[in-house]
Amino acid sequence: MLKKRIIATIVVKNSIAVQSFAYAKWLPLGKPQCLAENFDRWGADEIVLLSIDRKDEGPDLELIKSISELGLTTPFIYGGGIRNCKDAIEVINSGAERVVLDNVIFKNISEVDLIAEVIGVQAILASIPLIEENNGKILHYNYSMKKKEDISLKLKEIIKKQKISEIILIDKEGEGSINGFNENFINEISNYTSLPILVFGGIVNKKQISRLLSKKQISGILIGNSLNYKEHSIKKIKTSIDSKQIRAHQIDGYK
Amino acid sequence: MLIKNSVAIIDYGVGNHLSVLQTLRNLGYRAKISRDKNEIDKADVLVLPGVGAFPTAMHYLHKYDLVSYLKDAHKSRKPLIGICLGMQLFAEYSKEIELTEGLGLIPGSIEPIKEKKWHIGWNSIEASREDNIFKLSDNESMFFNHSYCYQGPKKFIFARSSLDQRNNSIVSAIRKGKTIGLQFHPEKSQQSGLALLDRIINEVIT
Repeated sequence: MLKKRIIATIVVKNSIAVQSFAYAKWLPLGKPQCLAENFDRWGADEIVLLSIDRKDEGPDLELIKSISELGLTTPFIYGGGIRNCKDAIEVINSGAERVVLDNVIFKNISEVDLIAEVIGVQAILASIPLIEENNGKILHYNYSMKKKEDISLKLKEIIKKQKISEIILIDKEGEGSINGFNENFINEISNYTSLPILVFGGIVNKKQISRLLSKKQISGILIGNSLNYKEHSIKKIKTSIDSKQIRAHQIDGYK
Repeated sequence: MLIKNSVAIIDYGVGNHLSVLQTLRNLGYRAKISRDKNEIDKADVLVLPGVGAFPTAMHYLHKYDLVSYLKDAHKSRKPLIGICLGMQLFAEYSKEIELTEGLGLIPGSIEPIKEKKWHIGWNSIEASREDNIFKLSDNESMFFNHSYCYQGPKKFIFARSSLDQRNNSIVSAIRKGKTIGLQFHPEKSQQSGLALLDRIINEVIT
């Protein structure tokens, strides 16, 4: 049976790994390559690298290649700046197994068909940042336009296409905090789709990790900043939640 | 480190070849990426990797005139390992996007995964026969990332992976002679994957 995944997340700005706070403030952490090597050694189930400043420049191919050249044995997902099919192919050819699409989904949904034809649906994830207003209404946060949008129509269109294999739900306000992921987002998205969901933003509490993993639609959890605070943090998380739904930590050292 | 045998990774334009290259080098093999048949010929083992859709991959194999080359390699019992889409290309045909003829090295077809649209993440493999190299990796987790799967005669199926508790499963490894297909990514399956890949290469070389 498929295991649910603990996914190590590296947020990158100007090709430097950063500690991000609600995608509004950043503190430098160091070279993304060093973090990726740590997460590989510590037994992450997947590593996702999100370049958050590539809107107009396209994906950071040099960075992807440099990560790939490390010879990591953990699956690697890249997101950031993918504008079209050509970008997506270059990301895969540079060494990522899967791609995260963000703006292109909302700006040019037909391009997603082309991407799926070449790299396959299984290699496509959609990033959906959400915020909850004071009145409880849940909205999509459009980073490129810096505005909140109704999510229902666009999301229905995306789901209908069936060209995405997993959704990354991002708690925009919770990202970088220790306040926990807003679980109302999962209920909201479940109204539209049965696609597997990955969650990201503010997830540090082990009780919440266990609760999130117990939800049927959740296929994995993205954890960012807090993994860098302690050596072997992923192993510690896996051991502490002791869930049969996740892959046990492997003993290091075949190479 | 003792330099082991040489491995050629077939470059057909689509796919994540760099990861496979680094993994093989880390395992001590002399590995290179190439679509030059003279270069590929010199290798002891051929690896056909793959991330992408079946019709696109076959299009590129035709474009680079690799279809008959791979068929001849299989016939002459040159060791050949297919990874993920690379394994699927060994089949006779695929129903992904449109009906597309494959390399036809191993009888069988590539079909949509029943009841599930995708099989993404870590799953254990179960060796389906006692006398095979997958037995040592029985119940070990490997990384899968696919939405279509192999269906074919039992005698070519060497490992399966469960999809649910209702006995639905997918084929995770196939073999005919020295041609071996892995539905999972051994190069991305940490220690378990590396150990199995090393074992497979050692076996097909001898």
